[in-house]
Amino acid sequence: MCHPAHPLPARRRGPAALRWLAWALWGCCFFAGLTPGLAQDPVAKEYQIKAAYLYNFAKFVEWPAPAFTNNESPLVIGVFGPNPFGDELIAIAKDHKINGRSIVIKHVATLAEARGVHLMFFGDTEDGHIAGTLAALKENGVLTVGESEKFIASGGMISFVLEENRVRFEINAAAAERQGMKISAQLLKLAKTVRNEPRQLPP
Amino acid sequence: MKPRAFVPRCRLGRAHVESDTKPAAIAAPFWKPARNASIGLRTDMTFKNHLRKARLFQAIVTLALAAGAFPAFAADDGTTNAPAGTLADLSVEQLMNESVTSVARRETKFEDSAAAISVITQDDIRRLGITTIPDALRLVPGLDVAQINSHEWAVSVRGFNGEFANKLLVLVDGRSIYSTGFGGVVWGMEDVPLEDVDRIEVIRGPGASLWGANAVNGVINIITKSAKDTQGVLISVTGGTFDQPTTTVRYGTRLATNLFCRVYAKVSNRDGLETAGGQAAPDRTFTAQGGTRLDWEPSDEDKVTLQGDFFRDRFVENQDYASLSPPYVQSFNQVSDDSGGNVLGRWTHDFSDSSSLAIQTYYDRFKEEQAGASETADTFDFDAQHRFMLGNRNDITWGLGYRGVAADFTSSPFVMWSQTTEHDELYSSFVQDEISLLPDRLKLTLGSKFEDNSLSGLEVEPTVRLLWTPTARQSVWAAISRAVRTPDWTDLHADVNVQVLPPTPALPLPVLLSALGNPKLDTEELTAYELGYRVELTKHLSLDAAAFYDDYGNLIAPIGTSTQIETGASPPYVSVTSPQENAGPAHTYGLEISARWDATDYWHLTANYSWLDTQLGFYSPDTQPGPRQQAQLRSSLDLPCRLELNGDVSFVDQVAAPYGMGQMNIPSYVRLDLGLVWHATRNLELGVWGENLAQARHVEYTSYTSTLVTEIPRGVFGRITIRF
Repeated sequence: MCHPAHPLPARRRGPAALRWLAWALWGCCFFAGLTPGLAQDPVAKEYQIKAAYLYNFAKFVEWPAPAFTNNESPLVIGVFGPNPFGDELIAIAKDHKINGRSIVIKHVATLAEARGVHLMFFGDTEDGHIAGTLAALKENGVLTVGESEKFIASGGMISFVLEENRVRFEINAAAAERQGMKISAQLLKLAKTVRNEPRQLPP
Repeated sequence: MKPRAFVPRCRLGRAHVESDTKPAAIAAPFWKPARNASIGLRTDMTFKNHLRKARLFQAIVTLALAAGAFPAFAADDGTTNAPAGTLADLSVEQLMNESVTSVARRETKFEDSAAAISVITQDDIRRLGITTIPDALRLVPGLDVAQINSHEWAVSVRGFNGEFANKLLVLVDGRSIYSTGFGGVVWGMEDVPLEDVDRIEVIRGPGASLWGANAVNGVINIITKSAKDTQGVLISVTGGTFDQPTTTVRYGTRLATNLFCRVYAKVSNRDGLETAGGQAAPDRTFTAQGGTRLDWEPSDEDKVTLQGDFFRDRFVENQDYASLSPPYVQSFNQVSDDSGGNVLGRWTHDFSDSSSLAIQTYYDRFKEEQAGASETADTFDFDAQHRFMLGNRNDITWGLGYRGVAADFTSSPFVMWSQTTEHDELYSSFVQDEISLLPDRLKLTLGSKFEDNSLSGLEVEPTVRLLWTPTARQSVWAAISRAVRTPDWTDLHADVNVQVLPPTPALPLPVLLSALGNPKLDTEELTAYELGYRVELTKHLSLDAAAFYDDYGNLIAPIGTSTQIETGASPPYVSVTSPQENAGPAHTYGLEISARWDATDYWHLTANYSWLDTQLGFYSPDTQPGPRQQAQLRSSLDLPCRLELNGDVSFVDQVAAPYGMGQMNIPSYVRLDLGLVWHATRNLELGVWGENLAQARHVEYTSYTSTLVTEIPRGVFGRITIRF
């Protein structure tokens, strides 16, 4: 392509409107810097998502009748061991109900405290004693949810799996059904894998 | 190739030669249309463009310095999570798509973007039994998707559709499938198994500042699943009135810890379109494609992907060749063979929570035949992107790229190239700064792409975008951007013999109508003004709206003609030629709305509506406004016994499409598709779908190379998918 014969003119200043806009934005930034920062939620996004999942799991599972004293008794979600959720679960419990029941969050440190819990979450740090704890809970009709790699192999029912920066889950439907709990087909369809027999750990 | 001629319409009779072979010899010789006197350089226009670019660039830099370099006073650290407890309102499907990374890291949820973005998910594709990429694009408001025949589609965004719609950038896993030779996307060449598509991201509007030239009206990125997500065996067989049949086989396996691969093969047979009278149309396509993908995560911070595909296809379509001897047109069934392959590698590395690097390189080779002519192209592309936080408020991404294209063209009686070898080098760089003016409330994005193209020199494509989130459930965004389209090889060097008018008593010589390439074309320009609004009206109802005003300049189209009598030729004829020119400006404006309603946990509805108005500053039968209105309603219903009932009904307004020497009016139509899917067992899925149930057949668009119009009839097909 030919270039024009006349030279470019001497440097000109940009149009007045744009300069005004630039200073206005500069002013915005200055004042924005003085506003108080938003309340910081220190809970990692991953656990916000997992807390939302626990609420959804409870929605899609039917417990056997003896699990609840009556139609008004609350659904108890328990966190076994250190609590990675911060205030997430409590915020959810405050605003939501499941099938008309209110939600109660309980932090559990020992098996004795686990009585009356309907859904129990086990964090990654509890790996060492998982199998034993899960075996002990077997008679209680508790939906067990975990996130460690060997959770389902150790007898757990639902396990979180991280995939491409997204939280997915695996379900061991047979283990839940043995305890009288019924997992909705909707949820089973969305699970990454649905196992029907727990893998046997090598002795 | 774009047949163009600016002559009053009349119809020629023609002899229909039915044969499926390539023509052994065409009766008439190749004619060189007379080239006219010089088109004339638009020197002052070019100069003004450079000045405008320089001023705009200067303004951008001033803004960036003013807003970006200022140190933050606030105590926050720029990360944002949703307020406590709000994620519980999402459905399980939505939770599955939530990214665990916060704003400071690489990924941003598209709801946080100051652009009109739609995502078509694998679930949408599976439920509607979608078999081709263009069919999937029908689900996006503002997209104009029209099927021409079993191999060709006209797809565009926000107007200016055509078989070679050229204002759209389309990528498969970051590899461009837009052909700069013919100027468009040959959709028939990309037969990606749709079961392996994770999602299709569509950005409507100029994506030029990140993606570069030709992303004028939109960017479509077809993203396939990672090998990690496609493990095991998949066998899928589709058969019916259109697919006869199509079979996909895929196998994925884990080679080592964090090393996954998959291999696939797909064979498609597409047929089944009809003529206006209900007869079977001659077009059909056979495609074989295979490929592999390897995904490796050597460490927590690194991801490496290696993938490659190769394909061969053969398609038959009706072709008209103009001829100087009676009957002045030869119509026959042209057989064309395409083939090609590509290899692509990508490495992403996370330096920290807020800094990452991505490097991608690919090599692509294809041979494409159309109307007897062909293009063989080799492309090598290298791209690097670096993202980091500057202070607490500036999320900066910058990158460098190189693309080299070498192509060879062969001619035919339909299209002749005045230059048959192309060597094109493109150096590009871009920078983008996302500035959190008010964390979680106001975000300003400044960016620009700079390209040095051997066809057109330096181009600057800046953008300014603002995103305001007044409440947790609403956001408003606005953008001003500039984009360019560099002329394609076709615009510059293709001479197309469109039609011959037979001698009349008044004029006893045949008249050859041709469109000529013009090597002195300037780039097309667009300045787009956009406004958008997203709102969650209730937990179950959300709305996404985008409005735009596009100001185009220098649009390329043939508008003038000149006539010359070729007495020296045998037989003598009159040559009427119409060269490509920077014809003039145009304005389009419109609106796109999308709404989603989760009526129950089992029933989801999506409605789309778009409206488009086009004002052209010139007339060319080739540049037609798009459909004024389009609307769609789709429903997905989960039934007991593991059944799904899915369907969609769409309305597309009438359009005018190029036809022969003038244009043809295509009436508006209503499409109704319904499907039933049964998840028989964990490993077996069966589906049956009815397509275009509302009408016996309808036309969507015309072909550039033939006057035979193919229509899409009512159809039914079934699919069996086995996974284990």
